[in-house]
Amino acid sequence: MGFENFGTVSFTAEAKVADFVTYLEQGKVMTTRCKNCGAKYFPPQMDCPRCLGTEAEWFELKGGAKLITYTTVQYGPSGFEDDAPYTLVIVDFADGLRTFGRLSRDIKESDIKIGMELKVAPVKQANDRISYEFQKA
Amino acid sequence: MEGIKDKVAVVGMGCTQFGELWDKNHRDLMVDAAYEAFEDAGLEPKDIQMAWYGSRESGFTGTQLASALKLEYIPISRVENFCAGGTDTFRNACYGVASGVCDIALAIGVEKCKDHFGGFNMDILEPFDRSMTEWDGPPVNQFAQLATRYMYHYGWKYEDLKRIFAMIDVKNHHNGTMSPKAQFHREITIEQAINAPIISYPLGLFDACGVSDGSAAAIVTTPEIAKSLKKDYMLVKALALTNGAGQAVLQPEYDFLHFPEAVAAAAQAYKEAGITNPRQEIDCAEVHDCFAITELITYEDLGFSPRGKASEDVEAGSFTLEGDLPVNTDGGLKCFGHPLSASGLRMIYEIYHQLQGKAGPRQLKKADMGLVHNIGGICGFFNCAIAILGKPE
Repeated sequence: MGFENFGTVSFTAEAKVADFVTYLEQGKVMTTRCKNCGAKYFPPQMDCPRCLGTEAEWFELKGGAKLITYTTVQYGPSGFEDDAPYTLVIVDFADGLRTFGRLSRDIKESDIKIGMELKVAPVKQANDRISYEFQKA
Repeated sequence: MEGIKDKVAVVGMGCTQFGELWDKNHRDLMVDAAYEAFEDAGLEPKDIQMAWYGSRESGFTGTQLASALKLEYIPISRVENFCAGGTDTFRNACYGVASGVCDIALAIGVEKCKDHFGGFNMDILEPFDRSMTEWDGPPVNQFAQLATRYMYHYGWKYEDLKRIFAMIDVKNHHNGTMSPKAQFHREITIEQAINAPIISYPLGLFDACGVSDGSAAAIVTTPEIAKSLKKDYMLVKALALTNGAGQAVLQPEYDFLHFPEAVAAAAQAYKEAGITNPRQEIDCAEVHDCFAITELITYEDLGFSPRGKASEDVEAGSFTLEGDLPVNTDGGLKCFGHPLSASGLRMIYEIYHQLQGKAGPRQLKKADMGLVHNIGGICGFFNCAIAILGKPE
């Protein structure tokens, strides 16, 4: 399977990193490391923008991530209207990996602090769709 | 390498009403903008030898412009460069004249943002489509994240940064009251701006520009032909364009406090124009105020304010019509809305009129050199276009 069932809106079904969703279904957030230069990416990327390598291997994304910045969206764009409000975050993992995602709804807006420790986890959405989110570490 | 300085002149400009123009299509808007420019230049459609047509949302290929103006069998290229599209369209037309392949060229930008794709077409997925991981972040969400980080980095309290945003919003709305072609013409108060509903924390309703339809056009030619057409033509002093080659938020080096593409474009432009102290040498600027945070950071990126200190200049009123470097004298994107490829040319239209002394109630006492700045894209790979115009010696 591919990305048909991913997120609130999936923009396409096919992707080189389709296994990402399969792993999510298995309860794991997996991402890629470039086999050539070792650069890590999340979201996963099969092609490396740093060394232009085209082979990557999967590893499980674990460990703490630190909140860099965020915004709480009060009006969602087309397809996301019913999701709002939700919080989008930019986080840095300890090994220098930077990424984005949504913050768990379990964290109140007043409790969000830049620098707070987070972890990533798969999350089931409405209509049996799947995604990932950042939760309190 | 020789630059563009003093090689190209602007002899005609036009701009439509910006707003919700349900009764006009993009061709109607181009006719209105172009014919104002023809009248201003004392030229006719048959005088146009080459044209550049800027559009992201509203029609493909140069034939859109050819059919609207009946420009038969001349070369017309369509330019798309997101929010920088208008200024880039102008840049292409100027390069056409400077190269000598044509003497008189038209640059026109148009968008019908209100009734295409149900509003702002959000299909910015790169570089995320490599993985197809969800990215539900329209511009307001992207720029809001810069605002949050700016607040944290410089130790601002939410209330205090919102007050600075509000001062920028109030300034632009005030200027917009004197711009008949703007989408919004109402004064707002600091309290209104601060207390407005949040769109994407910490940006509220008045911290965001409008969405509108509109078109603007420029006719450019050689300085020699310009002299034969009119006295108050303006010279192009610099044209810069940068495109970020980064990997957006996947790039851990990015600080969410500046736009590296704007810093690089400003350096290119100032070098070409021979400007060493922009705060002193530039008299007025039209900057890309898609959101209040964008205008605030842009003051720093363009070297108008020291890094991290733009708020002090905002508090001092430096960028108001009475300040030492008025910014967005026509009300900016805030009051005109942002029909992507039309905005840059609309901004050049304002600078052109300020330099000519024809900006009506918004007219500045001193306006010899003016700058236009557009930025578009996603954090980590923005693009930025800058144009500088000046009076002939």
